[in-house]
Amino acid sequence: MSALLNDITFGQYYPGNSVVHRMDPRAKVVLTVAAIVLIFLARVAVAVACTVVFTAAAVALTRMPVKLYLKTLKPIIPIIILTSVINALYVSSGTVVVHVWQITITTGGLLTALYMAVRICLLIITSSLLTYTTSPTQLTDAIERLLSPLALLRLDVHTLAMMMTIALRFIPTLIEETEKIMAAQKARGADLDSGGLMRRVKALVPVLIPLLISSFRRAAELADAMECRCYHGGKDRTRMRQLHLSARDWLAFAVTAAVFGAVVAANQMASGLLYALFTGGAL
Amino acid sequence: MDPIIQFDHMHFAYAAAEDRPARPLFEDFSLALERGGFTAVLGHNGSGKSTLARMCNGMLLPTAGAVLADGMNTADAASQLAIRKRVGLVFQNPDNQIVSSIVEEDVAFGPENLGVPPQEIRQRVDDALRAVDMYEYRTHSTSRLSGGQKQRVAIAGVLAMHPRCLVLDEPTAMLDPRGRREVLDTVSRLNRERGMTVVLITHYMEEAALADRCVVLERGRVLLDGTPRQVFAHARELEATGLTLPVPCQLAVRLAEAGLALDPLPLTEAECTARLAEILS
Repeated sequence: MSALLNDITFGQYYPGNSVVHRMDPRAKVVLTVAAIVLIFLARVAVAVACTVVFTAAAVALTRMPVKLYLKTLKPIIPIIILTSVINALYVSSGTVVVHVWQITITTGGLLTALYMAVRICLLIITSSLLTYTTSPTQLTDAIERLLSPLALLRLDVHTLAMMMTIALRFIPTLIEETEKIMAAQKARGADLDSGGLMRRVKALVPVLIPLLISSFRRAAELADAMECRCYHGGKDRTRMRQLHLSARDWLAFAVTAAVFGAVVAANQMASGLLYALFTGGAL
Repeated sequence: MDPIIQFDHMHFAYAAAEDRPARPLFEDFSLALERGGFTAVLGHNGSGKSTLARMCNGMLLPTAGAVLADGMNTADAASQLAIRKRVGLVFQNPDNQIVSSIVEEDVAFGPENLGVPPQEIRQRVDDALRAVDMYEYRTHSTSRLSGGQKQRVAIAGVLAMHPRCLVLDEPTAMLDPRGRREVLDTVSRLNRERGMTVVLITHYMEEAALADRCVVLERGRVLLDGTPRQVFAHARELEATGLTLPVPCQLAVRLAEAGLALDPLPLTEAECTARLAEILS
């Protein structure tokens, strides 16, 4: 397996048989969206802790190595550091911890930075959890069905879903092809890894053009193959995998709703407490 | 003879493009492929063999004359779907004919398009995967399979539509020797055990030796037509078209030139060694 392909874990599917794998993909998509809302909703320590526990429980239920999830976080470490630093510097509330020259760091700033870092991590973990446990076809199938009301607005949901399926299917193929072309250009003396940014971008042109041309050829061949297999759009099409919400999906909905309630309550209580403290202090 | 695919005084030309005039490829071409048979269509580049494959299910239409697939005219738009369902086409590059990322979901693509009920699709997918010996890979990712395995998945994808005829357009051209072996074994087994009509388009004569009929095309004409043994005996004509005889046949030709005729002509190495051992003892 190619090195490039091994590095890309985000958006990959890992077949398995865990409870999460067996859940209805529609439920998983809806719950992922709910979890993301939840992660951004949590503003206070108790609420953030709730989302952490919730995500950790979901990760544990997938019965997949935690290492896999941590791997997806690696490429976004710079983003986490950057947002944390900005938050720590710009948010000023609570007591001052450090004050050097123009820079003031407060406890409030540090806390906000920490929450933000946790949120970003949870966000990435939650979305990889969805793609790790749901095959691309199931995912597009779920999206197609969830978006099906939009067909009333004359939006071609089936074609959209088919485009997604094919795009996901061709990611590994095109990565492999890119590596082959890069190797071929290197063998002819192309220097792809040195020089400044502009030089490196320019060096990629002889890689991208053959890739583009071959993608068009692939697209034409795939279209022929699909036609030969009687593809004629979404009309009268059936599906091998029927989707049905089972007990575990309803249970997942219930748990998520409960966590939602807990987070909202924690937020409310904290703001009430702050309000009481604030008004108490003012009096 | 009960033909499943019939080319009836067919003409075909690729349309003129900016840089070249219209080029007639087939002129008054007739050929019938019988039901249940295993026919190899041999030819060098430009002989028209791939065009012929695409005409079998109406992907390309004749400019004059007719092509009948299981009795239906491929030019008839109303029977297009019925024809594609009965005549399955497998292409050269396995990567460019797999639609889904998961093996069983890809195999289900054809029957899903045909509107087959879900439980029956499941059944057909399992059957098709067993027929190509890929059942244990059903939940695997298609991108991590070998070339031969991908091509077998592509064959299963066509089989799941329950076709009456399987047309393979150079299915082994991009495979390593092992993948080639896997695909050819699968195809001959489907013909032998399931009575599937197989049309194998190739430029490898070794592969044509597996068939029970061998048609050699040259620039849109049938040059030779007969059993592999009959066809391979025309060593000189075959080499003139750019085809390479299998090594045992080459050896037999050399021996015949030197005054030792091997009769019948050996097609495989095993046949060849057995004959030679017989003569030497």
